[in-house]
Amino acid sequence: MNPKQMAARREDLRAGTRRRRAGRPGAAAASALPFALPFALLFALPAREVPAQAPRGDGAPVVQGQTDQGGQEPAPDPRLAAVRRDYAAAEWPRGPLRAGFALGGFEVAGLRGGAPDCLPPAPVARRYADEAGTPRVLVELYVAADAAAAHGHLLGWLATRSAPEPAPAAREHGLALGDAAFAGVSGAGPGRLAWVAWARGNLAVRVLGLDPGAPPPGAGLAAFSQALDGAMALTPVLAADAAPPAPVVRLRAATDRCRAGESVHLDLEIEEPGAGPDAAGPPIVNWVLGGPGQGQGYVEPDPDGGYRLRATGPGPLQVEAVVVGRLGRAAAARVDLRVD
Amino acid sequence: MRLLPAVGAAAGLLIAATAARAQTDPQGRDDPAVRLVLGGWTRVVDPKLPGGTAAFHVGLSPRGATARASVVVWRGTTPLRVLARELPLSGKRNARIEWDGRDRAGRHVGPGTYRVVVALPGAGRDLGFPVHVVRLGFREIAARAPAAADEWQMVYFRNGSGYAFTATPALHEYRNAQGPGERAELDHDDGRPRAPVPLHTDTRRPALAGTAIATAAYNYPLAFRSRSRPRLSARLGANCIDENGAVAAAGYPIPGVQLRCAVRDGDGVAWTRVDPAELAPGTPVEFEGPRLPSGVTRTDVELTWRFEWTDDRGANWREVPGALVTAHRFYTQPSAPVFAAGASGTQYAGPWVDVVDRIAAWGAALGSDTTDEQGVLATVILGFGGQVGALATAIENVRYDCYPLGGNGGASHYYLGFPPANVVQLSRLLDDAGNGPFVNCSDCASSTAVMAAMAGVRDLRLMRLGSMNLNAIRGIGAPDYTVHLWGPQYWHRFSYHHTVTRDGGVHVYDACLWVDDDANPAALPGTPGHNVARPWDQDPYAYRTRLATNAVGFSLDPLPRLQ
Repeated sequence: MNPKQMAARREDLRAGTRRRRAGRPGAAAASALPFALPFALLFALPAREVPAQAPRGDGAPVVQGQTDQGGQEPAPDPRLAAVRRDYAAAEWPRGPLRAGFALGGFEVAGLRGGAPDCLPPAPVARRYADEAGTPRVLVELYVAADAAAAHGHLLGWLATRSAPEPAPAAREHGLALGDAAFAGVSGAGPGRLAWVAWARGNLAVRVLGLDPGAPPPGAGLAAFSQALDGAMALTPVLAADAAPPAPVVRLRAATDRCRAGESVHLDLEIEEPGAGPDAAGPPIVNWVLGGPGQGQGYVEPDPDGGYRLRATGPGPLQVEAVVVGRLGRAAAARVDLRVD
Repeated sequence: MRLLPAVGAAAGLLIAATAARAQTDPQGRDDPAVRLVLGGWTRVVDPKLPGGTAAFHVGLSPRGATARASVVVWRGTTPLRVLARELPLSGKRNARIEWDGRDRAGRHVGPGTYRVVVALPGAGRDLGFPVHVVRLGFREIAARAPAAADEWQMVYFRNGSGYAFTATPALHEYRNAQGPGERAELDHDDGRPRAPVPLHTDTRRPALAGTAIATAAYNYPLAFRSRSRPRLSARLGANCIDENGAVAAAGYPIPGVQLRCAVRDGDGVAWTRVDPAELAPGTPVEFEGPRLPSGVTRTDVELTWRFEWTDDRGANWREVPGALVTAHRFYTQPSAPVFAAGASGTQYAGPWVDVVDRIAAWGAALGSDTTDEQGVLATVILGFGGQVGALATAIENVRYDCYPLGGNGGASHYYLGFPPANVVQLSRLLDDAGNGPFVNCSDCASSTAVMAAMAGVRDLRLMRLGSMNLNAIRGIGAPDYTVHLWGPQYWHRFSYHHTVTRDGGVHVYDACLWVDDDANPAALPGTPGHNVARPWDQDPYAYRTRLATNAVGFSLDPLPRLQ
């Protein structure tokens, strides 16, 4: 593709998004659903408990003029800025916000979804295997604070492509997905896709084929992506001025001091505003043990309920529960302990 | 000070004289010419140690005498076990009698002092001597280094079915004691001794007991700085199970008898005792081994732990029969692990087992020198890319994400994006390429940088290059060089490229591709040009001019964080 063709492609991408805007499903329902739950994360906690943390950023690449989660705006990355220009991202429509998407509850015929995993700033990831257990599809999902941040994630995926030509719009492959969508052609066979990525409101998704030698059962990544986007589109939208709610996480330790080799019971409470009864699977709980001290240990489910920290090395120890709710938003809470 | 065999002629002579004087006086009443003579005898024994059988050598005097004797083990006034009823004895040669430490019901007796009595027919014609049964063994072994900064906990990145980081316990990397509901440290509840715990060789997951991380029995690998002398601090178990199924103390210290431990490795090299204190149940003994190898290495060592006793304040030491053999795996690396600034979490506790294991294997396969940081980084670059020497494929069989190789347009699958994200999901890559078989430059650069940093390479950063027209290259996992990376209908270009540097961009390391090192780098065929410490510029083989046909600049990204 020469520069002239590239410019034409750019124009095409712009036009494609314009065309999609008119027919975007769910847009009219934006104000109909009262999901304006507050993004409240701070609680009155015991002295040893550190206030719950807002998610440490979505990890969305930050493009000039855009912030995620209201943090300080870092200097724009020149590569991201260039990609943003190349893909005319400023003109991408911004669909309505959603509380998230329960990827753990999304199933397709012929494939078996594994347990989702996610440690921010990574996306929620879920692998789908065929009947023989061979992983065939990987879905990555970011539930961002707003549509701009979701665009940032989509741009992040596009920016780390090293091919010189922009990825084609998904529409070129007959796929109408979300607000802005792109697809990567696979060299494994004619008509095959390697990945599909799109943003729908504050959701950013990438669907990757894991087995280039065999397309996923059914009609391949295209059908998989359409089914996924369809399911996303069916989820309720938030009020225009609402923020997608994060889980509410409370963490308490039975003690703030223990000896190496001992166990400490941990109580972890998770509330998921807006998750609803249909969201499948439990929230993802990551235990991040660290901090500036030398204390060490690990956390496991306690057979008696809750969790238990096993201290395995002396020193100050921060125990943080990083929770990714069933709808894909993250929150964290922390306790500080001293391991003697 | 001498070390004498547990049972042998030298000991026998010494003990026989004493024993005969002390024990055989009544024998002379029936036939003063025939006396029982005690040769060597096991005075301290742990029958539950492998090979821990007590042995007694008994003969007659004078030389021509013959008789038949009974041999019985007593506890107080209770006979526990008849070892022999009509044991033929002679004055020409001592008979060897063994006791496996069991009673007549076949149960191992508990610790305590027992008396073995050898009796000839006729009243009072007996010879008795004490045997101290003890229980010796370790409940924990902890790795130490003379300098604390020379030893690190290692990290696993998976749990049962998901991803989670677990560091080996800093308290002790080897444990062999009671689990939940069990009562004694050294024995199972049914009295069976706990066998040494086999080495945990899974490089991804910690030892599991069911679905939980094992807490009672595990044997994790150890990580030390190259050339350091490892120390192992082994804590003795304090209790065991006796023949009645009750918890019993380990049976020592013994009045008038001192115990100590000695360790040798598989090459017969004795480890140096750091703490010479007398053994006491529940306390540690510490040994220092010979220097570990240079570079990034993996060494499996079998240690034989023997116990010795003395009753003359250390003038003569005798072996307690039997020994414990434990297996240990030592990893070494030249420097302390380096992680992204400000990073926190268990994954930053120390080097990942899987990473150091791979680098050690790559170094061995390539015959590369990993004794310094440049050598380590070079090994990581070559090993990661593979297709060189004995390494047939790239790591986890990945290949460059391009159409001719079945992929797409160089999409990143493991690197989560430029700063501020700047995270690489190395655990997914190491886990059978869990995010798929395709990689791009950012995946390779971020992964190799964090792997090398984990093995102690400092000052690593990613070089982010601008767009470029390419010369002939061979992408990772590709069968050959190409001048059509994306296929013949596309430009042979990169929109950007990511590599690694440890000197701010003066030299380049790149596992993602090979450049063409022949006279015409723009054309096929290609001559293998690995990118290990390749000058960025100002050199006939400079990376910039070998890779690209246009002027290319770069910026530096920090060392990525890890997942």
